[in-house]
Amino acid sequence: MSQDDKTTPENKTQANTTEPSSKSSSSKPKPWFDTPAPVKRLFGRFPLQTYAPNHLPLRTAVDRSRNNLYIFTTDEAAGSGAPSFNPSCLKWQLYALYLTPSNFDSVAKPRYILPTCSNPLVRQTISYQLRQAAATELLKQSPAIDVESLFRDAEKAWEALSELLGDDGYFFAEETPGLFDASVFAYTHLLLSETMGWKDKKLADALAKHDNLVRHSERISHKYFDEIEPA
Amino acid sequence: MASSGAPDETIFETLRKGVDPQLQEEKLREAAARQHAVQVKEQRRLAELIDSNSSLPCTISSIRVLNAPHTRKTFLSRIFDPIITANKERPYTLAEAIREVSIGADKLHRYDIFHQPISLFIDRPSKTDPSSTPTDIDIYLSVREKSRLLLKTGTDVGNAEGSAYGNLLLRNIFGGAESLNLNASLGTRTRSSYQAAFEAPIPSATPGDLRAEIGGLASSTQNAFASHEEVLKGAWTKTRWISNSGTRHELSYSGTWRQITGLGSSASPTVRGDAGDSFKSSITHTYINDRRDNALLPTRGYFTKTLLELAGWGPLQGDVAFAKTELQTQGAIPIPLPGVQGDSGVSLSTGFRAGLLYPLSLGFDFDSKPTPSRINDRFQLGGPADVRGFRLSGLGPRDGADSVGGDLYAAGSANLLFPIPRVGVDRPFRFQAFVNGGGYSL
Repeated sequence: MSQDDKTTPENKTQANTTEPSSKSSSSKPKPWFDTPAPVKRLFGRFPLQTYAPNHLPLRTAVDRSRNNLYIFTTDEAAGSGAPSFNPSCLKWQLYALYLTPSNFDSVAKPRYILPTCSNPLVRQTISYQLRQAAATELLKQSPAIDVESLFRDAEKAWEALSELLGDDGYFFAEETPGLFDASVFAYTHLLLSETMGWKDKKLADALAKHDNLVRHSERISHKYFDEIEPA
Repeated sequence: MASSGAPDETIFETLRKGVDPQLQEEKLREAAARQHAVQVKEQRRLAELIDSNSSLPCTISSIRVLNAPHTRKTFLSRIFDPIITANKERPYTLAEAIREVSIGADKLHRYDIFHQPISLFIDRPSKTDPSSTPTDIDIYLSVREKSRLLLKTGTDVGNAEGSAYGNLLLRNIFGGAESLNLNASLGTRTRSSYQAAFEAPIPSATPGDLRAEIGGLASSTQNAFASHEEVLKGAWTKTRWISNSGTRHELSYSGTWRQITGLGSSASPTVRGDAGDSFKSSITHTYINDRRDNALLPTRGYFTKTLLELAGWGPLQGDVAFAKTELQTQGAIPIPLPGVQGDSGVSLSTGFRAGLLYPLSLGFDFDSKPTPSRINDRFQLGGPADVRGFRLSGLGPRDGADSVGGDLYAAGSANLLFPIPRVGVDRPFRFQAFVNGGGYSL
């Protein structure tokens, strides 16, 4: 009841503010060409009849009563609710994923390239475009792609994260995981996962040196994605 | 003109006065009439000459094509050799010889490498030439080659878009009527389009022209009616057969990579579901029979076009599989007005078009479910080119604000064209009263 009393004065003031604007709208300029009245009356009779709308095509079999989430995943993983492998989870590992040929063929290609199209020429073109885009992104940071310095930066980053986590369960000594935990999990889970099929494990090995980060990733995986095979 | 006084002054006076314009006109008219009479007499004499000698038996000793430096001899001999070899077996009459050679000249004209008209000359070889017989004749074809490079640039406004284009045509590249056509255009709706096509005639024994074409296309079109941008990259090979009367059959294989990208922020779930890449590998047959007197403003005749496309079935593979068929017909008749002699300029034209897209199972997997159609392949109806009175792709199934297209459609129209009173019948301007409609069915 008290809440209603609070809202009604606001509504009243809102109604007051709209009135003057409706008065000012009536003074907008007249268009320089106006359809003659008989033509307007004739056109006003149309449409003479409106038919029911056409059915949508079969491919549009989407459940519109709920929200839909579009993610990168396989059919089995989607059925069991396993984590997805969206490229945005792996965008900071640009070099390890896209520009290391062994990893590109074993990890990126089967997940991102092969499902798009069945034609080999198209697949080759998309692979090339993807690798070029990754190289361009890396070149934005520095004039040349220096692999060693990239890995040194990554190791420093893992060290910093490991220090920040310390002995806590979740970052910032929280009881439950927050947005930061989820972001870190998105990187570490896919890097450490065996089923992803990493061939060149340099980046994963650098991460595995920090036990607390590995345990953090397993903790979240067990709590939220339990009873499932890892991605 | 004559006047009294000193003769020198009269001459100068008359010269200064100038020639009487009316007199000059009459003189010119008389001269033209004389010229015309001479020409008519010449033509009549030539016709009489040919007529009186039409049954003269003759053997063609040589056919020469003059002024064609860039055309290959082998190419020309392919057209005219059959005439000479047929002649070796039995002598032609003069009329037959002229007819056969003019059929060859007509074929030459259809290759579009020579200007019209191609002139034909007949002569007797020199009597002192030992290899000639008394019945021998020499035939000369005088041609004028069209320029081998044609560059056209321009702007196009119409069909709800504006565009600028550049077109480069290289004719008769290797001397055998091969042509290379390069086209680039940028526009408001078709953002960019680049096309290259190489065409060459294939020697064939059938009456009519057989041509082969190979080409490629890269284009990007903004489809605002469905909130996306479609990028196409493809290549094709075509075999074309054009009969002497102008009927065309085309059989082609094409592979196209289509991308639906650049989705608008409010794109519907149907368009989002179709977004991404798809590869279409298809065989198409097209039949065109155009008997209208003018394609843009037809007043008499009819036009028929059918299209049959099979994609993704069996060995074709690809990502989409369907059978598509489309029919387009148009007919026009002039309407004579009771008080007006000759062409009244009023004409009635009707048109009908229909299309069907039938999804099939992909590849060799004949038992699997057919792949449902995608927005790239469905038909779009509505707009100034097909059903007027509707926005571009304004008819049909709609998901939110997006027009997603349909699998089966039909549309018809009837137009009555009147000439504009002051402007007249000869100018290509008309008032048009039209009635048209169309719809989808599923």
